[in-house]
Amino acid sequence: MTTRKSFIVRACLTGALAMLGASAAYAADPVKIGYLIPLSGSAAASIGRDMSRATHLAVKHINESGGIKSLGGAQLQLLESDTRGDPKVALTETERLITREKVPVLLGAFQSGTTFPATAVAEKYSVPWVVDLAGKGEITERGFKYVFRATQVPAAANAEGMADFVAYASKATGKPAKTVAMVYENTDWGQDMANTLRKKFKEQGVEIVLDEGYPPNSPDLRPLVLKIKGRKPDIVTVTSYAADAVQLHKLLAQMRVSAMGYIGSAGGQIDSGFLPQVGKGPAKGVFTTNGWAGYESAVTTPFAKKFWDEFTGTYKAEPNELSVSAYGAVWVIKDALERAGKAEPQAIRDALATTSIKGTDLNKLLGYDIVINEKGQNPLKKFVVQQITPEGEYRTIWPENLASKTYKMVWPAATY
Amino acid sequence: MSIYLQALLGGIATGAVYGLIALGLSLQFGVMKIINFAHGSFLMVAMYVTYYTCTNFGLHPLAAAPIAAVVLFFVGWACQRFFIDGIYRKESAREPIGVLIFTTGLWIFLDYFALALLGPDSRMIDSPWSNEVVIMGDLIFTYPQIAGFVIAALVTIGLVAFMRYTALGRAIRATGQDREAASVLGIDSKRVYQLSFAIGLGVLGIAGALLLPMYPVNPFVGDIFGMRAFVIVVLGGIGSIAGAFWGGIIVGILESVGSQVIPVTYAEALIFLLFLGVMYFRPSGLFGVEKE
Repeated sequence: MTTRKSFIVRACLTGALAMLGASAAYAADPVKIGYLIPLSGSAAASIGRDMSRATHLAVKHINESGGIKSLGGAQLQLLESDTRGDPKVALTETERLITREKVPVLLGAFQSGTTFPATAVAEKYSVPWVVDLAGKGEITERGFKYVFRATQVPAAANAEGMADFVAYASKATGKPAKTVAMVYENTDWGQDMANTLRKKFKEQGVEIVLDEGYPPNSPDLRPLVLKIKGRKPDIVTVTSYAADAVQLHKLLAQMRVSAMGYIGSAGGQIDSGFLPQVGKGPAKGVFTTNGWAGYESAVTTPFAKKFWDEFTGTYKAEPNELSVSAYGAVWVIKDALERAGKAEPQAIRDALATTSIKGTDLNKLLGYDIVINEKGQNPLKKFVVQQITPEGEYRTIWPENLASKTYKMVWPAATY
Repeated sequence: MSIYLQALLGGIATGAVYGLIALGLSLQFGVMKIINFAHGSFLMVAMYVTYYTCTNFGLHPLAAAPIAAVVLFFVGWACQRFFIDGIYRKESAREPIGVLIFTTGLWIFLDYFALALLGPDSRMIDSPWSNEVVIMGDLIFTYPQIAGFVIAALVTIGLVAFMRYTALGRAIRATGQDREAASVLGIDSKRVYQLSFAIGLGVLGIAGALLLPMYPVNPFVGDIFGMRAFVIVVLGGIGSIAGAFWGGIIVGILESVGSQVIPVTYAEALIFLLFLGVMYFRPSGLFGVEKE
């Protein structure tokens, strides 16, 4: 049943891509990039679609500016595949892209639950994979040689940011948070985050009154929210993809769950659909970590403005950490291809392993330098914490040196 | 322990709507002995119909319920008349496996057609009514929850009364019991099947309208609810309309109260555990009618 579904999707996409490829008329062969991303069937689909748009935009910009110069102006060609958030689909699609389409490099797949197993397939076939955003720590802790993560750090950094922020807010406002309810989607990402959160909250002496993973895409999260309410926590951490985050925050407001703060994990809470679907009322005061500090700090060069203007113009939605990371990851591949000089897996792999991009327009857009270490990981990305204002805007409030000068944090954020 | 009371009442409210979803399936299975795997997908269609009716005409979701019911009624009638009937007749002498496979294909087709046509986004209606709450002491209920329970109960009572006291209702039940004997008595089984399928989906239309204020709709939303509906139908008893309603309530309570005591991930398993238990000890379901 699953292969039939994916066959129809693949057939349509291959047809669309064939038409795309036919319209490019350059002497050098295009370089194929196998791209895996969830576009449907999952709580992560709306994020996946935003990221896919940014990825396609990056490919377009690279091709328009002359393609890969060291390969004679070769154009990039994305072979996109919908994982549906399903690891089984990701595995078969990775296999197909490598063995039948012979892609020399892979990109994706946003979710840790699909990226973690699928990258193992790439390692088996010695084809390099650039991870766009999956946060599971182990992805770059397996001693693999072909897996690279430039635009995301292990989720532990994200979770540490959340816990450190709680400690900071407790101290800075003189209203300490003593208890926490942790809810998280129970696949790889959520569990990975929860492991670090659990450890840090224990270290900080914050009592964990609820520690519960839930199946993503659940039809009814009301019982879970009721459970949260019953434990009367000071803080609620919500590690969820888009659809679940919307449901949870609406229910938290409906059921009048008081808390000093609801803290999101740079997942559903920063998705472009979050505010419109949740509404300004329930969204007001929600905290979330964010791996991207926002327009004011990052969109300062023509390179960044081009991305921002085209994205907002075409899609009527603003880029966020998720789409910016997707955009950046393609440029990392471009940089590696330029240095590799060959569209072959081993050459691309060796170039990726020595990636060092510092101080360029790309770094200004992302907010950090990119230096790949011996594990294939770029350790230089940092997370901030933002709060949603009553007007529906995200303002950075931590760390203090990056905090907004015009907005003052509201703590406690939700009292009924 | 007001949390448990809240969970119980919330579970009953949600369960009533689950029951309504299962009602149509129970009718189809009881009368025609066909398993409609596309049931969840038709619920998805009902929710989209409600969504577009509300956003394009500015209607209140409850006002859209009759519209969704009528649209789904005709969809059901057409589906039975033009597709299922043909396959059914060819294998009227044995188990309707062909219909089962057809409905499975229909399920996949409807889901992916909706995906291609409408995109993968989850959509909710923008009605302030859906966020209004009634607060009684420690208990909080949203208007959609209350409306869901009341209307589901009314529709169930209405349908049971229809089946029991009207000639048409009795004709449907007769055909379900023994098709040949019923046709000897002059009951046109073809017309009865069309009507049952249509009524089943019409009820689903109402359920979709009740569900939309509470859950967002996307092309695959039917999969989870469809699965629940199957459990409820077999739990409540095949062929028993009221059984489907009570089965829904039981599942709703189990899910809501169970989640307070054990991790929510296991509450789902609890429902299936109950299902297995009922199957073992009372295979005809809790309220099922034993066949002679």
